[in-house]
Amino acid sequence: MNTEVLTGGDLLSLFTNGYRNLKQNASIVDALNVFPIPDGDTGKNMTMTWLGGIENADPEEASAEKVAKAFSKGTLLSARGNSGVILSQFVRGLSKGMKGKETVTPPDFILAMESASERAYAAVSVPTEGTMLTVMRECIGNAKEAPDKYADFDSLIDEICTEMKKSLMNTPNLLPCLEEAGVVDSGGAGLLYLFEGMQMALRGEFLEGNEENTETPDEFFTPDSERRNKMKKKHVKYAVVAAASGEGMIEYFKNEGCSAVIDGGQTNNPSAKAFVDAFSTIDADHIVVLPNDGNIILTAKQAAKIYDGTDVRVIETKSMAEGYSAMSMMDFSQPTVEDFIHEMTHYLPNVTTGYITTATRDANINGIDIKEGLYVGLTTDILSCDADITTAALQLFAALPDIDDKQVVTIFYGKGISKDDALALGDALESKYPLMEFGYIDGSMDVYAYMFAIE
Amino acid sequence: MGTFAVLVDSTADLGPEMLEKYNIDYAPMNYTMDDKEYPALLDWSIHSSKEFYDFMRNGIIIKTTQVPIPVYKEKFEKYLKEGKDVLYISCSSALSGSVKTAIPVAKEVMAEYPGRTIRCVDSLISSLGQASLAIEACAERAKGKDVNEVADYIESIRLTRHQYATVDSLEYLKRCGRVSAASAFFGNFFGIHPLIISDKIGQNYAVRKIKGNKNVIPELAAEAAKNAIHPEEQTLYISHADAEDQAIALRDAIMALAPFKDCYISTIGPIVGASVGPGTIISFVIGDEVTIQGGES
Repeated sequence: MNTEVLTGGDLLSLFTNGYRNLKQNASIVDALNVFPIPDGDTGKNMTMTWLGGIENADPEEASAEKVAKAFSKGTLLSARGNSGVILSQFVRGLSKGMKGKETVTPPDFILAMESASERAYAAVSVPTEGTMLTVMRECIGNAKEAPDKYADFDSLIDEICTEMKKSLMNTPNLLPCLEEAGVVDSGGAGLLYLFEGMQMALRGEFLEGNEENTETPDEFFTPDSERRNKMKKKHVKYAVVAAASGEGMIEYFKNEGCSAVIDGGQTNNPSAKAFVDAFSTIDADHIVVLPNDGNIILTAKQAAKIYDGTDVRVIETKSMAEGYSAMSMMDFSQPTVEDFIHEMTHYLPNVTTGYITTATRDANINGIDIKEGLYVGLTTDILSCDADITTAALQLFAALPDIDDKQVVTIFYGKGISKDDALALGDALESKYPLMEFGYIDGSMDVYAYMFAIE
Repeated sequence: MGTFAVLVDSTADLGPEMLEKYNIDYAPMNYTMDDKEYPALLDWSIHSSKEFYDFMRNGIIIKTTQVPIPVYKEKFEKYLKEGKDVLYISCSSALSGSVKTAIPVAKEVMAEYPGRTIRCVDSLISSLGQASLAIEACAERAKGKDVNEVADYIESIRLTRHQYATVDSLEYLKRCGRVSAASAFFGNFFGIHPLIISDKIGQNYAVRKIKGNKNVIPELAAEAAKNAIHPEEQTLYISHADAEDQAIALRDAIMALAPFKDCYISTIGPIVGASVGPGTIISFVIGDEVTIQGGES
């Protein structure tokens, strides 16, 4: 390819390589999509839009003007999504800028890029900076100043790609939602892939095949925004501290919104100091504690009294199932701490906690004959015993006096129980209680095979 | 029928009989399924609503795209050619980029028909909330008002539409980024049903959690009845995603609390449907201006 002037055919082969590069990286672009609607389809939309241009252009056509015109018409028809619409208008401007040109020189291309960016801005009723529009405009900032400096397209497209990348990296500084998400603009990234594909074509690297890149390059994330946020002790209105035992349960309470989780260990109950230490790592107006065990409530209350760093309240949850139920209703947007606690507690009287465990000795309790090694079902009392775990669970449920008022059952399965085991048990319960909703959480508890939050 | 056409888009969820009754036209958006694209028609002539929602239940991912430029061009030109103006009442701009695309197209088309007007009004809501604004626009048109008067009027009342909705699973709204919520809403919890309103900037906002299936309809009904002004003069609008029984139960629950003049129930069309998922029920009532605004989506 003579890269001092481009024919229609040259243009099309550049555009085609741009397409292939974008297509290979479309999932990366999708993943960056947060603005204006984070629906994760920018890459796909831009790819499909650009493809429409390629399919509508005649590969035998030598005239740059005619190729650009057909390309533009194709993208207008195939445009989809915000990014696609803007891209199609960009191409429309590019094509207008090539009007009357059988071949295109670098200065011609710079003018066409100017027209393209203007057209793209005009396509949007309220243009937003920090989006692909900005990238379209800024990428020719330098080239525009000295259009005659570029002897060939290699140097021009290199310059455009460099500037484009710079502009793209700056998008999080212009658009707050990008900064917040810690990413660069997705449409701008898509545009960069298109131009980098063209750059490769000029170097003789023609892409083929269908490999797909899915790993987002580090440079597309803002340098340390994510890390910075994580490391900074952020002030919050409400924070929740829970005690839990079993690695799965501890992990679960952490992941679902607790600021600190204290290991409630089965044999060593945590000390008041453990709570106070946890409180002191938190910067909040109010700390709400979920002791999640009848034996820990007093310790938690004492810690709340001792600690003078901030207001601490204790919700007297007697089991992790109750703590789970309280957390499930958590709403940090509540105006006062009383409202916040009300949301977490008003379904609590309705929660029954059930367990399945293994009997450690023979006994007869409440008329139930218990044999060592068999499965027992219990709430605060032992209610069932059977060699079969499913039967023990079904009998436990049947023994609950208000079982017909219950609507939701969350099954926490313990160490040594697989999710498939839990699902099989859940199926048996569900066929007995078809109107209830069932959920499953890996609790990896040590003592109990199963814990049920029955609400 | 008057001097201007009332145009909506695929998110208005009006059935063909209502479109005909009020003489409302719509610009179709598109949906994509297994890499094939279909226009989102409100008469379900491509896939039946049952088929469509069963696809979703079976895990098929349906993507949606805004109204294409050529469709706007064609719709606008059609009416301007007939010597009519156009009032386009669009899907909320917080849910679709359509209206932002429509405005420059309208400008372009208007330049070719001097003296004619196209007004694009962002409804800041979708589904039957959007439709009820279009129906009100038709009533205003029947009084002999022109396109600008009616467009201004609709803009002034658009935030009086209240939405009270719930979805079977927040996954769909989450996946397509069309909901914002109080923090800690999207946890790995079971039996939690969101109460979703349309906030003052037109985004879906999961404002409250409802625990347990049986509590959903009573709580939605209580909200709708509490916030409706002069229900006896209003039509209650309810749309559903293949959940007619639930929609009827909701209607009965609301009617028991507030005596609405009548009720219109429709099936949620493919575009809103793809975002909210099967099992969704949405009620719309007219009340005071909505002032709540959710966080960033």
